[in-house]
Amino acid sequence: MTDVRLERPVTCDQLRAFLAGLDTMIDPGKLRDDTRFTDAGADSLDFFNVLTSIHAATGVEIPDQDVPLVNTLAGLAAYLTDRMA
Amino acid sequence: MARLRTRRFSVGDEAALNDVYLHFVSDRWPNAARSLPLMRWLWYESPAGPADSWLVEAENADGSWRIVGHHGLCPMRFTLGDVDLVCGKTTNTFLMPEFRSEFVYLRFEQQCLAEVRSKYDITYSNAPGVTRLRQALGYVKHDSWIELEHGSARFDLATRGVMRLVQHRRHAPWTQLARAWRTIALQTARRPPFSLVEYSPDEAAASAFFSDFWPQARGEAGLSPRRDVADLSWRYWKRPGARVATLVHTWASGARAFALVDVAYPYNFSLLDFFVTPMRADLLDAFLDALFCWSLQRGALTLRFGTTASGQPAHFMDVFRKRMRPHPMSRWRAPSDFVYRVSPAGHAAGLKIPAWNVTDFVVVERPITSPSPSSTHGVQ
Repeated sequence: MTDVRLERPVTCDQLRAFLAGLDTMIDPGKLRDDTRFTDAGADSLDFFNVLTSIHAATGVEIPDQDVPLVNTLAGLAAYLTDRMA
Repeated sequence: MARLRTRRFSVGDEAALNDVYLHFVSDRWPNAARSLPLMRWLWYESPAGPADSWLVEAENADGSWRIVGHHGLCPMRFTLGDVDLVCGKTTNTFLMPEFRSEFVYLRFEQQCLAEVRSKYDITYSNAPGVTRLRQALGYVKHDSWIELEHGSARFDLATRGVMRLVQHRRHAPWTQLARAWRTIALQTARRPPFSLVEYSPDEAAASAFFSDFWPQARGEAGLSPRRDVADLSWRYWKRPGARVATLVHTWASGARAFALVDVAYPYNFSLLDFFVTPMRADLLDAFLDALFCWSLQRGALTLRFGTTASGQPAHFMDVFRKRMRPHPMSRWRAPSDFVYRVSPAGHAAGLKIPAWNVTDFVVVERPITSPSPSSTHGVQ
């Protein structure tokens, strides 16, 4: 688990710091804003862990139909900024 | 970006799912093939009931839907002493690569498990590379799959080498070499104390031998696939396209043993399942002698056997390791882990999992009529 807090407006750099604290195969340093997580080495478990950790940290649950919107840093940042209290 | 949805498999989906499955695995296993009757056998005919099967679909431009992913559980009857269990074997799990950024597969499988939480006591899986994923769903690793093979009592390495030569060169002079070598191996084989009785599938199903075998043997088997006539019939004797020899022996003392051997490939047979009761090492040793001799007489140069390192009692593994050798590529192949998950229903029943008694029986969907029976077809 990561100690990084996500605050509005959520930025890509915040998310990189957040991901760096998770146990995944993603290298946040190599993740561009518009790179899909799976193209950066994430497998199904990593993607699952990211979304689960985001939910735990922010209270924002991402339903299945919105998954294509959050599969990049930029998409995820915009999504969370819209929905976080 | 296509819309995605999930739904339960329904009757009539077989052809579409089978096509997609074969297309998905064809890159990794070019020889992968599965007929529709075989698929229907797997989906519908288990004594434990039809498979649970879920589809992931993507919407086409014309509003129709196509299958892009699947998760399945094939119900298998197991026993643990006097207790009857229903275990689910993961089957044909896949998601097309282009959708892995659009769909959280693990959440989907988590939902599938929740739907059937009351049906299965345990679910299990045996596939390379999925342990990490499935551990996130509560699966624990039991062990890794191992493959052993036996060539001959003497010149074992050479015999296994000849099998590999002729495996990919099924023409003269290699087949002549194989036949000549088999004659030599037969001459130098340990003489078994008895010969095995061979049943046809129909004879086996109707035999007195199997009618009461499992009720007597199950008490010492630990956690084990059920080997009643109905289970063996489905798994082997009535399986579409299977060529399985059923071999039995009864000792004067009343001890019994059987073996089910895939004989589809002429030079390399596979021991798919066996059981010796009582589970004594000396009985197994003598039974293997008879089995190895029978295999040679039937034309096979080698006999392979798959299990996990702890999937047999320790004294049985001692015998297997003494009489058989690891597959030569085992050092370089990624292991297939055997992982399992006790369901909420299993936990509620207080299920305590001892060692599993494991043979190819538990890998229900693995094709058994191929030149390389040690390969697994399809993610599991």
